[in-house]
Amino acid sequence: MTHPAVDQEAVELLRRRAGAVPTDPSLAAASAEAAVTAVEPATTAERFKARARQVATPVVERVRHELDRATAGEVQALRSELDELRAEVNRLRSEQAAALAALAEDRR
Amino acid sequence: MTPVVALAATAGEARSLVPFLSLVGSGGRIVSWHRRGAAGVDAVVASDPGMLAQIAPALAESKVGRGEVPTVACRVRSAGDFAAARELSATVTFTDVAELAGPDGPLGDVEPLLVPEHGIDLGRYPVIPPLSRQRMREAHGLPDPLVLAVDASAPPRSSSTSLALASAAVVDLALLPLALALGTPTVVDVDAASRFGLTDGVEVLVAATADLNAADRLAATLARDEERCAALSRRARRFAERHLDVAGPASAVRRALGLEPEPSLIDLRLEEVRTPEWSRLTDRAHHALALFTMEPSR
Amino acid sequence: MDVLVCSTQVPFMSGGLELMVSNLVDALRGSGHRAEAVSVPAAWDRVRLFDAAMAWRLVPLDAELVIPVNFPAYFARHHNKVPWLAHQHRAAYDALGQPWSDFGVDTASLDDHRQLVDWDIRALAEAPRRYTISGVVADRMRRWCGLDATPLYQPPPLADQLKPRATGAGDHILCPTRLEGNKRPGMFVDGLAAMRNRVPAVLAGRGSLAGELEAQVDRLGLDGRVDLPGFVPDDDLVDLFRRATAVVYSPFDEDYGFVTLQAFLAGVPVVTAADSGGVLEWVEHEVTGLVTDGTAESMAAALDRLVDDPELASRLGRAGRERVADLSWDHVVRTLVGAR
Repeated sequence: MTHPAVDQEAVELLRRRAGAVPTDPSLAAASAEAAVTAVEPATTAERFKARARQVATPVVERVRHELDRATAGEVQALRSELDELRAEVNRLRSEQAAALAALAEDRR
Repeated sequence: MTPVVALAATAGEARSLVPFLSLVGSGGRIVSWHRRGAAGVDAVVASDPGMLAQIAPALAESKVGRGEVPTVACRVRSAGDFAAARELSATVTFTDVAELAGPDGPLGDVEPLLVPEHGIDLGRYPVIPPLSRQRMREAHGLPDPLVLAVDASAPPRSSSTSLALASAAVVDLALLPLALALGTPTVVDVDAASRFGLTDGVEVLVAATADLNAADRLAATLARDEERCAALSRRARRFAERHLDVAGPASAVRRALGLEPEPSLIDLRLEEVRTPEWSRLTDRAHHALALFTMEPSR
Repeated sequence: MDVLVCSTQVPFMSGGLELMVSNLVDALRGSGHRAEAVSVPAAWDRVRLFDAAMAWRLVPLDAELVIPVNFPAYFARHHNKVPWLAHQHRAAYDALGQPWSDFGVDTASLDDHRQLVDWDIRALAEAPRRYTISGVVADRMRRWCGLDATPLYQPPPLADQLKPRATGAGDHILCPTRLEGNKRPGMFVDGLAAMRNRVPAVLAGRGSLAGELEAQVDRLGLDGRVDLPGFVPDDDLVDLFRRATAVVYSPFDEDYGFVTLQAFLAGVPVVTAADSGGVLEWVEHEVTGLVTDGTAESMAAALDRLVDDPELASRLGRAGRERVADLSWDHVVRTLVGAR
């Protein structure tokens, strides 16, 4: 695929995951209800809509990180650690930027 | 010759300008303006009129720009800022305050250009209408419909792929700009919708409660409604183009600063219908006219 | 008002669309407007498909109103562009993967498909008002592009000549259609063979399936009962409509279908299939005609009913004529130019 948002490896992952069965029974119920209304639709518009409804029960696949399942405390600890790391990176970056700029000017 | 763009800003302000500046300076070099008299600078981007006033003497001395007048882009955040920037002869102004920009804004002109805070480089992400998503899923052997819940904790390539291929998606705040840009039929929570100024049923569907399962159910229902998906997708992209695009303003700034030539008529027409630069159609149009490209007169 | 009717034409191919353009230009002129048809040549193969679209973006259109009628004429760039759309490029939409479409699910096709849908949305969204020739075409635009459009119906060709017969029952069953796959003339022949009543029938029209249909008629022992006259001049066609007991018209997912309206103007009920698209905007089961499931048995049952019950045929025919009584070019013109 040439679309820049689509990554082949991510597609593979998605394909493997999307085979899952919906965990929420209400999704299956909604689909069954739609299938009933799809019988003998009268107008063209209804037929098209019905065809759209007659698809398999949609699988809601959660592309969420494990963080979702972590406890609140663990999340907080991870966030503080991350903030510290970010601050450190920013400090180093600004120091180096000034040094590099000075170096560039000295070479001119 | 590679143009050089200088950034005039305090350290704190510079950071907020980096995403925009990287687009303004694409294909060029960016240096930070921290000394008077830096030579060989083609244009300056100033973080605010105050900063522009500080460097004005240096601009005059160092002959910034390619003509007699220095070429300067200046960020403004109020009508007062805008007047000050004009007073200081800024070539072009831009803002991250949505209310200030556009023909409906208090300044009522084409300027300042809106460079949104949560902006996205729309040029990198052509829209994928629902029908195209369906074909792509078919090609990839993915189920149809494919309803996903995507949030920023997933790796970026995974979330962009998910948002590109989903029939409908539950999306969190951080990924909302990308979802809107790609024309993903999207379900969001009340908070995300209000922060972006989105309307339930217009650009997105808004889940009434914080219950994730309710949002999932809404997305599953949406995925089965072809007409609604098509309408939401179209309006989502339009919203992104009007309020979240960073590439468009960056290109306009580059043109105003003389860093990029004015587009040809055919390029303007292709841009009008948002044809990606790397599209085969852009190549085809240029190829058709290549024979007639005129050399600049000497 | 100065009006340009814009269409795209594949050179040397002429059909219903060209007729519609010519009728619209005549009707505009008849209403006192200055009107002209503007056409840009196009090719429908995927590689060159976008060329005419790009050309339309650059063509100067000095008029107060432009009315594009097909893909990609609606790429025309004008401040007052009011499409009256006969169709989008179906080969890239619902016909994708069909033998006559060069859009598949390969990478290059998908890229072009995405580009086409995006361009279509943008070009059509530029229009302040959008009309389509039928509800089916408006429906597709809503599903494919997320854009609303209003169906605006036109009278069929020969509208001023088609009148109901004065008295009596009809003497044959008529199917006037191009003999092509999407029109499904074979469905008509199969239905005739399954009928109880041995009523004469006429399958009028030309097309690539002519030989195949003759063989089918032979095979089913309908020789002598079914007439395949090929092209029929207008006067003869009007007469065939006038004398018909029923008209069968069951194409697959038709955009509009003049045949239905012509039958109604002649006061003749139409037998169709449940997947015939735009035909169903007119044929209401047991009101203006009979809707079948497309099988030979159900087609035969519907035709036998109308032959056995001339009173039913007459009632449905009268209702059909009432349904199309208001169709006029004057209404089409007033709607398109925005007059109240």
